[in-house]
Amino acid sequence: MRALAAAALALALLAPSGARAAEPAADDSLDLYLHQMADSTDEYFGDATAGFDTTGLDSLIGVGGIAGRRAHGPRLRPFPVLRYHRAEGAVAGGGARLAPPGGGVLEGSGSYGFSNKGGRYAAGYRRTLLLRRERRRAEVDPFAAGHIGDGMRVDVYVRYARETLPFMPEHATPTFGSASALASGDVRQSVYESRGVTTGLEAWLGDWRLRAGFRHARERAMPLATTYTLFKTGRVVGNVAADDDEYSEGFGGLAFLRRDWDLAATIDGRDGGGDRWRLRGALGKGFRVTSEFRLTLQGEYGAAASLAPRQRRFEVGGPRALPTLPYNAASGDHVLLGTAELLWGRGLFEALGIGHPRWLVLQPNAFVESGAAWDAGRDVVFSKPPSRAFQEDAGLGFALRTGFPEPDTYLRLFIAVPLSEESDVVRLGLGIRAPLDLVGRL
Amino acid sequence: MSTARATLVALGLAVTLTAAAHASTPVLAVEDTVRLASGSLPEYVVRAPRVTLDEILRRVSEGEARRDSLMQDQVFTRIVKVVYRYDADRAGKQPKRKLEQAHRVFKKRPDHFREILLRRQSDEKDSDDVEISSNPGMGEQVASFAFEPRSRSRFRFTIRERHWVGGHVVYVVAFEPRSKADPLPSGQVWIDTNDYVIVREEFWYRDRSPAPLFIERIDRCVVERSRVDGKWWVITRLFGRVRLAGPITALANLGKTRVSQTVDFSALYTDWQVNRGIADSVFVAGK
Repeated sequence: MRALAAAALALALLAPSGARAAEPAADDSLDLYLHQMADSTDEYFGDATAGFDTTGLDSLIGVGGIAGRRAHGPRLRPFPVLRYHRAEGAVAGGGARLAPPGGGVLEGSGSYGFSNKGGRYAAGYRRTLLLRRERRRAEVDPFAAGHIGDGMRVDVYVRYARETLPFMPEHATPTFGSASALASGDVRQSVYESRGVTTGLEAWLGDWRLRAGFRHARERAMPLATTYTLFKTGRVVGNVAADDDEYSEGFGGLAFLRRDWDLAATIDGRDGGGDRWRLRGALGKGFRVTSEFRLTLQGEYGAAASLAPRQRRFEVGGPRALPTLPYNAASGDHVLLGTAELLWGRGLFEALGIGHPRWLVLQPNAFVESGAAWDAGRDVVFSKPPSRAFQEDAGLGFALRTGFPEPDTYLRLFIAVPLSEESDVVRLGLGIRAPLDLVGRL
Repeated sequence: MSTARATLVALGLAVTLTAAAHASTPVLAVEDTVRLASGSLPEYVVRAPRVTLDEILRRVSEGEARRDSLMQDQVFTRIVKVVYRYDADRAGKQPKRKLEQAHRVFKKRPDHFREILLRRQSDEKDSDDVEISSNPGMGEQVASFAFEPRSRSRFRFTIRERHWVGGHVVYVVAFEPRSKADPLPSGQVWIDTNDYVIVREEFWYRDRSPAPLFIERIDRCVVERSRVDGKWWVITRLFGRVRLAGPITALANLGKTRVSQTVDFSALYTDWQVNRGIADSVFVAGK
């Protein structure tokens, strides 16, 4: 026994403890190591999820190109058209996008306004001429729109439409704030009618998007068609009258986006001749302020011909630009706007330790905005805004991230107060926003 | 910055490390020790910089890019499964398979791509509302998204563990979004430093959701990779457990299809063939 103990001691001395631990493992140890983790994955997800039926797949692979192939016919994606506006009343209709086997996407839609008794329709065709790079959303989903960052893509399109368009479209809310407009008539966004054909090219190259095209259209005013509101508030205002106009023009634009820099910029121009030209640029940058806060700064500048029709001029007012002001509050052939928004990354209820449904993540935010729309009175791109034209407001709100249609889209419920005398009253509102929405969807 | 520091003190010992290779039992080095007289050799301080976290991140990014660039074509069978789970809602009710579909997928540079449906099993007749497709590229972004040069700055990384496994040093690197305002996941990856490729990844949205109105949380997503032909690391299994938000579940249940609040997504990628050559006619037939 003593000899055995001595032998064990000798072995222990001759073979230091670290030597055995450092002994290289067998070649297949990495596979074994990964398999052990895979087993824990199986255990976590269970047989129903982790078990796959592979029976007979080998034989199907053999005849895959014949028997197993799925016929890819034309794909159809319908969509409804529903909105409400005091210049149209209730509007109902529908449309569809069709991806024919020959390529491209056909789109058609039609709707009817029950108060103005007017029809709206659109027909268009878009075809992708060039699509390159690995992540090609459009090949998987033929209806997918181009985005900066998805790789090189060039599209050509043609579209004819008789449609209702908002003034200052860059600040307009989708479907013209229909729910609020129907409920209280409190949305004063004005619209006009446009009928015409647009054709153009769009190219996405790296971090850039280029647009160029041609448009011929007739535009005319839409008078007030109804004063109906669900709750009889009596606050329905008139619809700003657009100038009757017919024009042919070229247009173009350049946009830039780097998501990792949180930086986006765009510049768009419309020709239309000496009394119609319009130029607008916007710049947005996000900053991560500590790990909890995000600060977003945005700026916008625009210039148009001094005799440009009313619907081409710039405006401030509405949830996206000085929310204490109503839409169409200030109009001019030039605009300058700056916004700053600070968003807290945590939900309010979570931070306060108050029980709440998990989906109700209300992120507090604060914002301050300053802007002016003014008439320079002459056809110049750069014009110094008069100080009296500036109006400011500030506010607090809550952001509820929807994740749709873009991952960073959110609903903002806010209360805004005017900081300048000319601004309107304290305003409570709801808007659909995205961090760099003055730049637009890129 | 960490620096491994070793001191060889030549107090009668000269140490020679000889690299050796053995067919059956791999040995990294053989220690050949010769006793020498004390003080006959000077003292040397040997400094060997340990690979830093930044270096790991950079090399992973390069390793993934290299892996992608070396692949000329891929063929694999993909089986995707959607399972409704009722564990949290109705205890005892068995999970229900909603969909299981198998495709044979062909990819070839520069831009050829084709999927052939092999089998589709669903609990509903003519159910065609769930469409799952592969990414046409050779890259596997689901495994490497946090390490891509353009997204790396949005995450904070930490080395959690190191393992020496079968001649491979495997780093476990955890990541989390730098800002709580960004809708990004947290997770961890296992990195094989021989090739600087990601061999396994887990990520989750447990404390917050990327889209609270639709998704309450994502408990766990697992990406598993294996070697094909001894050198190509490819995804072999993918799992995700998603807990849907109350409003979207209630809305979905207004229809005839009952949706559970917890849904499992899983995928098996099997029968891999990499760089074996695919005839262009395979893709012509798919157009």
